[in-house]
Amino acid sequence: MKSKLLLLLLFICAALRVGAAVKVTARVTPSTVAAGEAFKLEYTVNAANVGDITPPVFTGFEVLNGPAVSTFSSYQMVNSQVTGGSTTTFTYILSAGKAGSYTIPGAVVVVDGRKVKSNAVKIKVVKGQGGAAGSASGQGGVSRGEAMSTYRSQGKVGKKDLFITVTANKTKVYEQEPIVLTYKVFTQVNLTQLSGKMPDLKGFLSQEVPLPQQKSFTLERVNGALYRTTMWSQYVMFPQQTGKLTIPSIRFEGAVTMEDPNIDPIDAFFNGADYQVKVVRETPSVSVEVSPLPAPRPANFSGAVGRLAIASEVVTKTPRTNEALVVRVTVSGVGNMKLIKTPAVKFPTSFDVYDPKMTDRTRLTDQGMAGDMVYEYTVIPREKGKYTIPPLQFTYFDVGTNEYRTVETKAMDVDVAQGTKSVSDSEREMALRNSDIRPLHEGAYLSEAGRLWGSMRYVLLYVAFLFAAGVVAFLLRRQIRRNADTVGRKERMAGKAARMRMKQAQAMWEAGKADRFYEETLKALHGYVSDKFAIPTAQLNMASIKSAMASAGISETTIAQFASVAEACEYARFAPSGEPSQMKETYEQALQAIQQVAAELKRKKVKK
Amino acid sequence: MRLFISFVCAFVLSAFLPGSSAWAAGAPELEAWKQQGDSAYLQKNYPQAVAAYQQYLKHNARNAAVYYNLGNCYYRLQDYPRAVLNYERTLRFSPGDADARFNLQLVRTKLEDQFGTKNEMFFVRWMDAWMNLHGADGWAKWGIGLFVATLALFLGYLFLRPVLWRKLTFFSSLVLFAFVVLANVFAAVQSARTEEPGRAVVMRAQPMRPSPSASARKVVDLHQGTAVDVEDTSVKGWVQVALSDGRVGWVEAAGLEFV
Repeated sequence: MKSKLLLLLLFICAALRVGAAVKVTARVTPSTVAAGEAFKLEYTVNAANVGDITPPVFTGFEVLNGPAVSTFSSYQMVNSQVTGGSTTTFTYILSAGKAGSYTIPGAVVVVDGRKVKSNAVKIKVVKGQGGAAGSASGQGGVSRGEAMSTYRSQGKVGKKDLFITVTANKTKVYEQEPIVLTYKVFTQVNLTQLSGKMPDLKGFLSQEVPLPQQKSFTLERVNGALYRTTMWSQYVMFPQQTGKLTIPSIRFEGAVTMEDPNIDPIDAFFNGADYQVKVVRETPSVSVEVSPLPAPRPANFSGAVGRLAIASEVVTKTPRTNEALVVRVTVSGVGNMKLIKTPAVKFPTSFDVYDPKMTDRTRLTDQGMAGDMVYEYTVIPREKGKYTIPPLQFTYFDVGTNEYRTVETKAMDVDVAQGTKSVSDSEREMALRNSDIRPLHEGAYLSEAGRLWGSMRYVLLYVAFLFAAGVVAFLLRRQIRRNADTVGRKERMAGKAARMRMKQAQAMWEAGKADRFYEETLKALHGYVSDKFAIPTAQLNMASIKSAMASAGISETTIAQFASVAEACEYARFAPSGEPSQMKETYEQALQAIQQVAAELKRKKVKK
Repeated sequence: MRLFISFVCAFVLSAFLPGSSAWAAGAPELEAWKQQGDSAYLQKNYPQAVAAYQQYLKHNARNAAVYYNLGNCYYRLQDYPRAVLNYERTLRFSPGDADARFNLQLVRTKLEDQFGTKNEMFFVRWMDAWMNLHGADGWAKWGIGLFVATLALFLGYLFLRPVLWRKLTFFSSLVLFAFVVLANVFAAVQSARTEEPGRAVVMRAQPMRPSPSASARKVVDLHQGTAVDVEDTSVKGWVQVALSDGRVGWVEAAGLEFV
């Protein structure tokens, strides 16, 4: 035996030495089986590139199936780090012939061209019901799962084939002291469904202990018969009333899969020989005696029942005036944590006290609620100085010793320094503490950093805008110059244009068209002034003409002469006399006026 | 001429449009990660949201919004140090994110360490707050906008006739040009801060010491979630940091995470 163990150790050492990274782990499920029953032997390799497996010699076992190879990859998150890996599993289905304890030696697996040996595993085989007869269903039973070959699958489902028990860890408790109820299923048949819930009870506050969804069955012998058992549900009950209380029976409804022995084999092949049987089981009721907490209750009893401790600390290391100061009180242990009254801390009167914040860090265990209840008191000292927060007393009922106990925290010294913040600052601070974070940035919220600044594009943008401004300036200047040129050209050409018009007027006069003659003459006069002095035609009237001429330095007499001709033309236009001599006179006067203006302008230019 | 002007316009417009081709390539898959994270967060499945956002950041580690959302996840998971780290990273890439600034303030009230702030001249504080309204690109855009306004005013000076208008446009264009320079200075500073944030968050509680040695006496204990300025990283395994109240000391680099 010793040498065997040594060998085993050597094997394990060898396996470890090959490399910590690649490991082959052997595992049997379940670890206890009945003789003749199928069980699963798995070799798991934590690597992806896996070659062949060389199984050990299975002495005393029959290989029903295997090796079946399966590979799977998994990704999981631990401490917010995503890790991943792939594993390969070789699965054998074996069955043992005789009862006893066995050790299955390790198998050798080729991983990346290296041989890696697995650990050895132990398995306990107990005497089965009626020997190996249970495994008669053979291959079919194996494929349905390792745990089914001993299920009785024919006949009726009796009370002895399937029953549910309930056990309470205590039946005599004090008020608020938790009782743990365990519902356990015993079955010899293939139970496929089961449901049953604890009803709401008046005298209790009940909470269900979360158990894994996937039930694993173990073997247990009851009155000489072998059963598969599992813990179906568990409740923690806190009695709220005193006296004799009853936890009623729970009605479980389930379904059992059975086989019909009389069915035609061909029909069974196509439709299956299985059928479902509905079963109903009621658990026995449990009566509990709840005694009241012993009287007299202490005046400052907190309502807590259990085994508890209390601690307190000043969280803020450097308290200052008008800044939040946090004091934390922690009640820890096991008991009816959720029903504890918030401990009242006595703060100095110059402190502003806000509502304490409670954090529940307890979890439901089969002892009751266990963990910490954390109470955080936020206060704001208004004046500097040394303060002492007196010890906090906490009285609870100890279920270990069955008496009231008072525990107390240490006195806390607070040295408040003068802060720089004002009262309104501290109010803002409290508002901040009591607010929640802002919502998520949803959708295509592309706040990409560092895309424009420092890029070539950015420099080119400046160049482009500078260039564009240059172009605009150039275009504007050219336009202005061109406008200026038009004026100049008009001015230069004014005399010529006037002469052309006067020629036209002369033609009219000779043709005897008096109204057209006066019109053309007026046009010639106006056009000359408009071009020469850059007066837009829209603004052309006698006043603007006079003022433009005056500012250009034309003499009074010339202006008067020009104006009189223009006025005469305007007048004659609407009442033409038609006398050729008068037309001639007007024609000569107009020509003279234009020549006079031109001459005076020329004289001015020369002077300059 | 007209062709030339339209060419200039097209160039200017294209410069403002987002999208270099390299960025556009992996976008749909990345967006899927973000959407997965968002929906997981809204369903209160925070660990899954964390995993999705981390996948996003593995491929694009510069998206401020994803850091912000990741910070919110950690806040909900009550992992305050990591929430601080991610809000700091949000502000690294988007200093103008008011939500991140608010959440960071809120998380700080839940931390162990409550160091005050350094006494600075009011205009230093104001300048910093002003500069933090935008990131490098935000200020770059301001710079461009102000430059355009400067040019427009200068053209006004060149071509307007009334003397009063000419004076006004000339001096205001000078003032605006000063702001163009200022915007570019801000952009340069913010860009430098984004590339080298010089911030770190304490992820493991440890004492701060006056010299980089484990045997040196301690100045003060730093707890998880405290954000510090990084001063010096030249000593291997140690980092010189400055607290928000101005105190300076050395901490072990292993207990820090750089923003």
